[in-house]
Amino acid sequence: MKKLKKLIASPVTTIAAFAVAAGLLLFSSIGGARAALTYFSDDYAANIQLHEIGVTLVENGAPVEGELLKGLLAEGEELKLGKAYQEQLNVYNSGVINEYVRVSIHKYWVDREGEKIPSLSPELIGLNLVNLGTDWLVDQEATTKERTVLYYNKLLASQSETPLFADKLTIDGSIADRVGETRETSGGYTTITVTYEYDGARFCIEAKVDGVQEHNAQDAIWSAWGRRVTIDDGVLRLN
Amino acid sequence: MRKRLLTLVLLAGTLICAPAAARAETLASERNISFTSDNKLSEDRSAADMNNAVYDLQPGDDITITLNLKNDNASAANWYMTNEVLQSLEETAGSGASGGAYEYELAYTDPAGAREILFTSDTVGGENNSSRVGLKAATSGLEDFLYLDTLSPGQRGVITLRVALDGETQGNDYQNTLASLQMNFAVDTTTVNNQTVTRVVDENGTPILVDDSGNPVEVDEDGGSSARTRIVRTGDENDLLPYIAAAGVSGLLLLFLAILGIKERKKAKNAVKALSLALALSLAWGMSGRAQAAEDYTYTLRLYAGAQGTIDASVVQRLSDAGATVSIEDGEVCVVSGLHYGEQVVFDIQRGVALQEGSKYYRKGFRVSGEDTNSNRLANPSVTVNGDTDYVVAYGIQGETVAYTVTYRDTEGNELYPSAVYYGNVGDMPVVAYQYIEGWQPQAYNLGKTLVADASQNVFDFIYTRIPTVVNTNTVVVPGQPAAPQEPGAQEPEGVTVVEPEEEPEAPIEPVGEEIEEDETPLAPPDDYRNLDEEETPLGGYDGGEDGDDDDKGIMTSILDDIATPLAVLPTPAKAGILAVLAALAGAGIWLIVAARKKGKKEDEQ
Repeated sequence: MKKLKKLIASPVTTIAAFAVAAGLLLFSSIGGARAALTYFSDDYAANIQLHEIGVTLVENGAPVEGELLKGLLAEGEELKLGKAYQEQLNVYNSGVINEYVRVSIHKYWVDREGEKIPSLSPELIGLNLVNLGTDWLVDQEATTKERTVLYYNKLLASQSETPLFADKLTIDGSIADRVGETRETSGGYTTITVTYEYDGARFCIEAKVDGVQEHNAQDAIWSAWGRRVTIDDGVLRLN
Repeated sequence: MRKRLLTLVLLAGTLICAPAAARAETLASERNISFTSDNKLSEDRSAADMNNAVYDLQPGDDITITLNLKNDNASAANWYMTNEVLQSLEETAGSGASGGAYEYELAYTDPAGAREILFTSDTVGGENNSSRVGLKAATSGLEDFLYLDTLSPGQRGVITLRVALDGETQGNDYQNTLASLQMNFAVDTTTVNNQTVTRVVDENGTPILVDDSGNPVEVDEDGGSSARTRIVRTGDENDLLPYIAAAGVSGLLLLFLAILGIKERKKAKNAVKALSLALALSLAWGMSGRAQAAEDYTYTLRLYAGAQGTIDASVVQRLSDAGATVSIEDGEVCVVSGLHYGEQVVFDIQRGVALQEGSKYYRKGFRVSGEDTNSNRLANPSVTVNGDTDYVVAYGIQGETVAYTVTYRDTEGNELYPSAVYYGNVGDMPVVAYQYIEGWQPQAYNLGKTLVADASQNVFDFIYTRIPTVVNTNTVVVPGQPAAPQEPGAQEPEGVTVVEPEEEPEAPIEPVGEEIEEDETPLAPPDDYRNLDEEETPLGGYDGGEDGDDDDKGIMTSILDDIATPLAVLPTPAKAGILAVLAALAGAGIWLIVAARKKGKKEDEQ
């Protein structure tokens, strides 16, 4: 009896039993319902594939990975107020399909802790926009002092680039004049404290690029971005 | 004054789009399939070509695959088909795609131009927990062969399959995904359950027997003859039932043995080690929330209704900033302006966003403009102001999956074939096909019904009636043949003699009439399609019952059927060979057990 149990418990016996059982049960399932179907076709298969859509911001001819303005200043160099630095920006279609693109640019100031300082003017961060009207459309509804939204008005083919939408960056020199003054009188003395508003502040530029597929793009933009646009013969116009 | 540069760049690709069909791309593919004179199903392009065809679609696009079916055979032929989704987009390896919806329509157009929809739904997939992911939900009832039509020689039918990708719900996660659909066809000739007997008579109307060439043959004394009976073969020549039953019983016994073996091993080991792997990935974003007074600058939030609804001012549930203003522009966007940094706005899109009438979508939340519609990327209803921001309402399709049962019974309610359970969305109208059962005929080849939330009402009852045998007798007069003496009591051998009168060019055999001898009243043919929604009067006899006990059995049968289909076409000798091999294996197994038992007994005795 022990031998029998040992035999039954053997993996080989189990596997063999399963295999034979499967075969027998399979055979037993060949029944009358199938008997009438005599001639069978090959498999007619169709594959549906969705491809990748991709966009990349290009800065001074190189794709941006992570941060902007890495090469703006040489090592040890300090930013000069009022100086126009080269900052050429455009968009590259790194995906497989053609697409429509837009760029949202945010400019603002933050303090030492990285907290936004809304009271400091974003207008002093001067990013010079180019090719406006010809290639890039400014969405006036969405544009504020802090934000600018640009739409590329043509279809951007896969693996191709747009014209520039910005070429220079300048920090307005007038920020040096922005001072605050407090006076404190104690006894016969008056203490005057002058504070530079921008002292310790950092400026930030964010650029976010969105792309939308070519097919059905007008409604795709409405759905994805909320914005109503019209596309005629591949030319995009803001409603 | 020291200045440092902090720069950020965010890159985002967006694939989301709206489903408006008017401007979506429509692709098409067409093939011709014919049942040839040499009994083959052939196509104008190789199946491999079609297998390799990849259709480059984008959300919102659709494709229509047309298959033209033609009967080039000399006989009329019954056509059947299956339709299966081998892989849905959501099942692409490495893809996180989910929640996307599809439109799916399979239709057949008969030679007269009548179009019958076999399945249609515009909410396939969507957000549900069904085990059938995405597109696979469409074909749960189409994976067994379903009857299409009987095509006479030269007739044509058309199968069209339209698949549309919903643009609203298929977002970035659907990039680089692949789906695969498959269709198969089968054909059989149409002489099942009919015996055609041609009576050949002499000029006096006396029946005579002829051989295959039309020559008269002598009738034996016992009434037999050498003329061959040609009755159309309707199934296997051999009665395989005993073998199949034996195979089934043997299989079950061995299955029991295998399970017993596993239990024994488990006992022996005493402890089973369980290995579990848990992978957890959490991403945390830390954001400081220190509010800062903002006297000079205010921000604007805009909430767009998007493509599927309109918006009103009630969408703003709460405004912490008393100085802020709310405006609605053309029902398309809610603009909240004059907001100070750190203030809070609470949106309620369920109250303030109205869906278009009859919309298949629901409001699932809102997202930053350009971001994906996935649930994990939706914005919180309570927004803390930290900049000018645009939002768009996100919509989804809720796949309300419900089960429906197909039963196959006779008029007395006896089950003739195991029931099957499938799944669809509420509001879908699937069409299910009958199962071929030898000697029985359903009330219709296809049944359609609109699914409701109560699964007990989603029952498709095929009610079968036994087919009476009909003998069609064609009487053919052979001119010039001597009248055979009519012997009293002599009868024509039963079920006899099919003749093609080709041997008498000068005196052709002409049919002089046709009479139909019927054992019973002929049964009316089944309807091609019957809509159960339109049936108010119960059917005669058994009118179908609700039986959910066979769910598991139905699924198992379906699985076995899928495997069995290719085996079913094997010739009988091959089946018998397989049976012999399997029987031998089973015998060997039993022998081993008996031998081991004897040996064990001997050892015990010693």
